[in-house]
Amino acid sequence: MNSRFTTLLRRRTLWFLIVLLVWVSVLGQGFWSVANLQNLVVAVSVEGVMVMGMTIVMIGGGFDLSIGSVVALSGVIVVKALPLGKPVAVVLALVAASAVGLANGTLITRLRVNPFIATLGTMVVVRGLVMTYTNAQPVPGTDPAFMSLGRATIFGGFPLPGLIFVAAFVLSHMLLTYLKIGREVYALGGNEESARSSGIATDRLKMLSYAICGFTAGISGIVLAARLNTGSPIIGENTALNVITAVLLGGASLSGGVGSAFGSLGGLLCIGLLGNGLNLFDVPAYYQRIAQGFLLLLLVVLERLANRSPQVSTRTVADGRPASGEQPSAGAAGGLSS
Amino acid sequence: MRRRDPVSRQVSRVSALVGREWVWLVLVAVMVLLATTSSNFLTTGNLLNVLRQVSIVGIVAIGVVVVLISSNFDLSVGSILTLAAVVSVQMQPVDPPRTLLAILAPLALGCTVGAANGLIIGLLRANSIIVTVGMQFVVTGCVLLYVAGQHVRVDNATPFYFAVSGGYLFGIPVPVYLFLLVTTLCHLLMTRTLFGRYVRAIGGNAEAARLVGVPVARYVLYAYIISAAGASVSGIILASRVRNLDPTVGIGYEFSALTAVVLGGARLSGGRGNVLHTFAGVLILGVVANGMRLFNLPFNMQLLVQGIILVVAVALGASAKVDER
Repeated sequence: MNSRFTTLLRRRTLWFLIVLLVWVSVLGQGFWSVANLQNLVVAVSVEGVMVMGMTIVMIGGGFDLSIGSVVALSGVIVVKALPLGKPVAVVLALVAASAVGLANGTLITRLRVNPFIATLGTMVVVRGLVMTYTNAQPVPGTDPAFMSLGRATIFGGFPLPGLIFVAAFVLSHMLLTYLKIGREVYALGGNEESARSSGIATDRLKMLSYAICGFTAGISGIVLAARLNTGSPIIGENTALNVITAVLLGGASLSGGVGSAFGSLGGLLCIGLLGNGLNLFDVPAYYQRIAQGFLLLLLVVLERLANRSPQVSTRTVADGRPASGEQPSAGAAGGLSS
Repeated sequence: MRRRDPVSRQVSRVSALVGREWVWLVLVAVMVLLATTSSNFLTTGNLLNVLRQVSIVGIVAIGVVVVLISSNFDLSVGSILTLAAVVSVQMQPVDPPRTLLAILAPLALGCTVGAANGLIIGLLRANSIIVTVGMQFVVTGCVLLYVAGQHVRVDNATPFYFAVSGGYLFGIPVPVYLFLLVTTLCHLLMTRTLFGRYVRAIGGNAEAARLVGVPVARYVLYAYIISAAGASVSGIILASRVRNLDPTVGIGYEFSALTAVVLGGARLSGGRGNVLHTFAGVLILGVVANGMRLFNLPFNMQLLVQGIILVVAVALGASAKVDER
């Protein structure tokens, strides 16, 4: 395999995106209609906010399976607390969501639990809490004005959730590229031991990244609850895996140290366009799942093939872009190390 | 080095044994607790019921621990279980040849999915979490497509097909025999054969295993086929029991199985793990769920308790220095 091929592979997200965009926008009936674009923006935005939080966690070498449960938790809390006033309800939901993130961080840093299992545990616990609290029944919203948070449009048609997502994207991009703390996250994911020896408070940083991830899941939960005007205890079953797929597609790796907000945005748009395109072509929803699965498998296969080439470029911490499709050869299959 | 007197040597040997076999102690403790608080717990009928109920998730867990020992995850077992169950029912086992088909076809399909997992992960050394999640998406989607999202059912199934889940032999339910059989086979496989030693070596250090001549890719493939076969057997038992299946029936089995495996003290980074301890982990989960039912606690709370058990087990396992096995 020559180096030009690997260079091409390196920008695989971009290529996926271009191919998808051309395919959907040229062949899809009604792609450019306002209603469809609004749908696309909303669909992408709700998961997009969490993608940004997950990007930070995964660059730091972590993993968070609990966000789906947190979406349900924050949605239920915000609807239940509406009688106290909208601002109070929103703050309560965000505090609860961040608290789950902090609990994840505590399990992982203080007790040294593998992130995969720790967040799996909180995922089940939080889901159980929400189900017990609501008795597995959806909580109907009481305040019609609350729905505007999820359904309002601004600038003549741009959905409000889209604006929230843009803000989340800009903030996380700034954090990862311009702030000291962002550099520290890359260092943490690249090599935790050397990050610690060079004076980074790694445990505090990890706690912070999981809290941010929980916080973003809280925002998504509130927006979803507002859109549905319901706090649903069963919502978000597939959220974590969808979000992680987008982040991986965007060039991050499960072993940390690589990835970027821009890359994750690309991964997110790929999945969004794929779903939207299949919708436009009237393909049954089941195919979307199959297509997403194949996308993931294709992704790992390409990444491994790119990695086998002799040309290995060094990863750069500073510019934060994925260098070659790197995945340190840990274990036969790069299983998580505890 | 200071010579130690026989008594203290005995004590340290016992404490090492306790450190190794603590999962059985937890099981006994939970059982004693339930036996003293509920008069219905320690009856033959109830205990057999617990065994019968855990056998489905148990067989899945035994397969998952084999893969985990090779330092890989298998998150596709829930979808393979669904696939096997749905295909088994769709074969409509109303006469003997179709009954045979309803058992062989799901096994063959399930093992094919496992082989695909194993090939991608073994040959390409791809990350097992991503691959098996991707496979889960593909298989779940294909199953939903196959049955158009509808329930599948079989009426008038043959007595043999019923017996897979509902039969009794010497007063013990058939699924329990299957669970014990799978556990015994996998335990022997992991402790007495080359396969077991190779899988452990791969889990301990894949690169070192490769350098000493272990065909890593092939044994990773075998491990995934075993895990998929376990999930398929569970799927067939489930299909035989329910016979009117929702095509999303297998959701969550991978997590329950992982909980049992972790409870059994398997190390997530591979190399270490014990089939019998996983068996005990499965029993703990079953006994706890049974206890909650005996006290009429709502199902949703069982979810909560299972999650707490997982977190506590992992936290304890991670903080305590586990003895070398």
